[in-house]
Amino acid sequence: MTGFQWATIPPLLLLALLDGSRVMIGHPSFRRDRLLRFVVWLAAAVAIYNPGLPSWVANQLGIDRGADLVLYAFALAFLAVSFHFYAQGVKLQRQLTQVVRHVAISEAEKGGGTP
Amino acid sequence: MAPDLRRSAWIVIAAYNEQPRLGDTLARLLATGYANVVVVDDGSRDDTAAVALRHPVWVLRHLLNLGQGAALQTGIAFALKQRADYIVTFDADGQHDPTEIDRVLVPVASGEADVALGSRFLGATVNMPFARKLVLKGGIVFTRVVSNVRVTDTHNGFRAFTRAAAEKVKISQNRMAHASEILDRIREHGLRYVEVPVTIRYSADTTAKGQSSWNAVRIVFDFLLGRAIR
Repeated sequence: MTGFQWATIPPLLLLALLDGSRVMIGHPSFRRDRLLRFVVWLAAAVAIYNPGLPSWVANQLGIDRGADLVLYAFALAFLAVSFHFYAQGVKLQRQLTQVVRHVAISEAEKGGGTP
Repeated sequence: MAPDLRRSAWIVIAAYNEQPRLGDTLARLLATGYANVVVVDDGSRDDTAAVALRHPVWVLRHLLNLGQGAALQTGIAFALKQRADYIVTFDADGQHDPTEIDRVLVPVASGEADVALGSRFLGATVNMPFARKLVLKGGIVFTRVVSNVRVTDTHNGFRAFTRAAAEKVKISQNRMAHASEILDRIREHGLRYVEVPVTIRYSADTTAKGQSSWNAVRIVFDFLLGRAIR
């Protein structure tokens, strides 16, 4: 293994182990996130260990180079992560709206009779 | 209109920075005899709430500016708590004619419909900018395709709901996409609706303050993504 592989693969495997060992624990949404991270860490470790593998997968998918496959995967991941954070923002805003609404209704005030 | 209906109907007004126009709107509205009026000040930076408090209306204040959809839902929730039988949404800026409230309320009060939707294209418009007309017509096509609801005016804030319909139409779109969301909810719950001709008066003031035509893109974006996020 090269120096780069020694520097990156053990931490990636450690992360995969951490997430993989807890993939059945907790709320379903946490489990899903851990499983997704486990797959990403493992795929990264395998791709770094065997650089020819991304090229082989790319060829199977009709893409010329492994580097292009990684680039496309990053572009799709960026869109997915952006949507995830947007959705989180919307949900947070809905919760905030509930709080603001509750305060507004509980502090409703009747105006005077003469404009 | 029967005096009973004027007592059982609640008029909900969402107001944001409407200090210069709200007083006149409320004076004209109260002159029609509707006594139950709720003004939701949506975190205005001016004295909108103070103006509203000079009139015999309920005033609710959002601590933050959340948007017209959120303000309307707050007003509707408050009116439902006050045992409203019918709820009318009405604009704060004077674009709507309060003498037309009776006409909008009749279909829901008579049991003909669950929701009455004001339509400026069945009624009349005064000084409507051409760009606004174009965007609104685009909204009609969009609603037919996406929500499968056939109406002639999709973003008209003049509406009436029965109590049961208002309980079902829970607005979650805080900003302007709420108008499309209401139509979506009408279809989703199988509510009966009719369109009622109304008049919308544009002035330089209200046009300047109102939504820019480009905001239509944001509305479409909010509406479609909001649908995907439950």
